[in-house]
Formats: sequence, C-alpha cells, structure tokens
Amino acid sequence: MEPLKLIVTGPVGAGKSTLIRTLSETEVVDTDALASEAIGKATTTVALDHGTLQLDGHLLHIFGTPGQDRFDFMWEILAEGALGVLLLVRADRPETLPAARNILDFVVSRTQVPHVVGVTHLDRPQVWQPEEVALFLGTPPERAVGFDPRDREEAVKPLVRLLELMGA
Amino acid sequence: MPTAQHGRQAGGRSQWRDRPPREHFPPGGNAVAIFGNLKDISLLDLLPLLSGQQGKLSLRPKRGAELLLFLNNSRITCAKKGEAALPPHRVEEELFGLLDRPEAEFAFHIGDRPDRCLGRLDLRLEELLLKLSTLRDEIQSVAGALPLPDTVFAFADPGRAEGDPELRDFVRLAWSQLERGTSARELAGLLGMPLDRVRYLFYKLRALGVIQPLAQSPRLGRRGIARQLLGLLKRRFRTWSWSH
Repeated sequence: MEPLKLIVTGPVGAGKSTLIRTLSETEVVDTDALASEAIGKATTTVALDHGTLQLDGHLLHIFGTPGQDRFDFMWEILAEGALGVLLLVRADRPETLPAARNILDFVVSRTQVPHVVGVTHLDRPQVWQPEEVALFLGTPPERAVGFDPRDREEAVKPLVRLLELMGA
Repeated sequence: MPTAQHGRQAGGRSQWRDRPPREHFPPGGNAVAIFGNLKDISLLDLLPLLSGQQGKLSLRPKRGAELLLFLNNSRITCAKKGEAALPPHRVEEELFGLLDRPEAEFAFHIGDRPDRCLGRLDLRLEELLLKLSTLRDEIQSVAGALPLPDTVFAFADPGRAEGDPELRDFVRLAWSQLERGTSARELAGLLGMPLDRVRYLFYKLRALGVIQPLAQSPRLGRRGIARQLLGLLKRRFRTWSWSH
C-alpha cells in the first residue's frame, strides 16, 4: 500500500517534536541540538523529526520540520506528495504568529497539500483562541484546532480534523 | 604618487601593503585617495567622507558589474553600471543593496569626471543616506514578519496601492507578474532590486490588502483514503466523539 506522509511544521517551540513523540508508535528519530540563539528552550530541531503511526495496512510517516525560517527550503521538498500539513502555533505567544503566517503562506502558495492549524499551550493564563489564530493567519476557522500535543488522545485531534475536511 | 621604496618603513614592512589593485590606477588617471572594502567600512561611513569632494567612486561587488558614482559638491551627478547610465531610483536600489556590508571593493578617484553621461543626476548625498538608512531601519524592525522569499503572491485589490506613491509605482512596475502570481525572489531578480526591499514592499502591500498569497488548488483524489483513515482513527482513538 502507498506509504503516507504527514508534515508537522510551525515556529520554534510550538510543540512539533512533542506531537511526533506522542503519536509515533516507533522510536522517534530526532535531530535536536543545543540552540545556538535565544529561542526560549535549550534544544531545537536542526534537520527533521520522524515517527510512524500504523493504521491497519497504512503506515503513516510523520515528519517534523525545523521551526526557523532559514530552513524553508526543506518545507517544499517535504510537502511533496504529503497527505497534509499540520501547522502548530502556540496560543500564548502571539509574537510567533507572523512567522506562522509566513509558513502557512508558503505552504498554501507553493504546494497543493491541505492544511490544518493546531493551536497548543491553551492551558496558559492568557491565550489566543483557535478561531482568533485562524483569523490572524487568514485561514477558515474550521481549519484551526486547539489541542494538547502531550496527550495521545488529544494529539490525534488535528489529524482527525484534517481527514474530516479532506473527506467532506 | 608614492613609490614602493618611499612606502618602505623601518623593519621592512610596507605601509602600502593594503593598497588597491593596479587597475585602480588607470594610466594617466588620478590617484586613489580612499579605498577599501565595504565589509570593513560601511557605505554609511564612506559616503559622508566623500561629501564635498569631486571624483569617481568605484564599487566592485564580489558578484555583478562595477557601479560607478560621480560625485560633485555633495551630489551624485552621474551613475553607471557597466556602460548603462542609471536613473535615480536604480541608484537608490543599488546603494541599498550595498548597505549591509557585503564584500565589495571601493576606490575613490579624486577629480575624475564622466566622459559623457546620458542621464545627468542631482541626488544630494545627505538626503540619499538618510532615506536609505531609514528604509533599512524600517525593514529591520519588521524583519521577522517579512514574507518568505519564495512565497507566491498575486493581486487581491490593486486599487488599494493608489494612496501611497512608492507602492503605486512598485505595483505598476510589477503589474504583469503580480497578475499571474510571483515571489519576492523572482521579482527582485527581474527588477534588479534587493530581495529584502521587495519582501518589505510585499509586506506593506499585503497589510493593505493589495496582494495575498496565491493559493494552489488542493490535490484531488484523496477523499477515499481520507475517509478510510478517519474510520481507522475513530476505532483506535476516542477523539472522534469530540468533533461530532
């Protein structure tokens, strides 16, 4: 059966590596390295993360991209033939929204791959709601989903929404 | 002109070891008084030094043609790239591209005048420097929000650019490309403009609703697999109840 590919992207610190570690049923290959600049966390993905999810006969490969936009050349290559793109955004860090919008604009204008926006860190005291994030990004509100990438039942929500929109 | 012998100092070290290449001393031409590399001395430091002097400033980027600026009385009176005389807006674009300390040799030839100049200019150096440094500061202030170089944009409502002369002129210049969809990188190459300047103009045009990302149509033919996977996920996870 055709191998399937899901791309997880978004600004630094949005929860991409966490989501892949939570969803993957095989050991995650990651390429974390000490951050060379102040990005709010000690390590960051420098190439890509990879995990898999087996759904009966279908093997879903999940790839996570680095968050820094200097790696944008990878996004188009990775998205080629992908089932969909999950763009993750932190609800409590509005300063990352312009970078998220740039990524989404790139994906929308350069690929034919459908997308969903996953909004993380909604448990923080002051947050943007998913529909507000969607408004900023210029994407329909039904494409934005709030979820917790640390919890397995929650982590599947953006994927479910993506498939619902694709299957409608 | 000093000779190598004159330039020899005690200890055998030449004070002229950093002098510019021989081609900066054209036969019968005037000596180079000020020379160096923009990676060491920025354009914003160099141009004020030359204010009030008359001569030719040669700027040789590592890649691309040499830029010649003829200065007189604190003004740029003629500018050439290769054999072509540059209009004022092209001079601004060229200098803006040299602001961020690229590798580019420079040499100022005192007293040199253009043999002939088809497009006489009258650009005041001080005003030009102020304009360029302001623009650079503006771009740096929104650097993180600038559209990515390869994102494709197209017109949403071109009429909205009419209120701003700079944006209006840019839109007219890029009209055919923005009608079909273009990226900042493509446009910068076509118009000979610095990439960051085009990204900044795209940023402003997008904020005004003049342009928007050109959305590709999602690939068709995956509805079946999407429904199949959704069914499998619903059986595996309880989450399906959340979305209904």
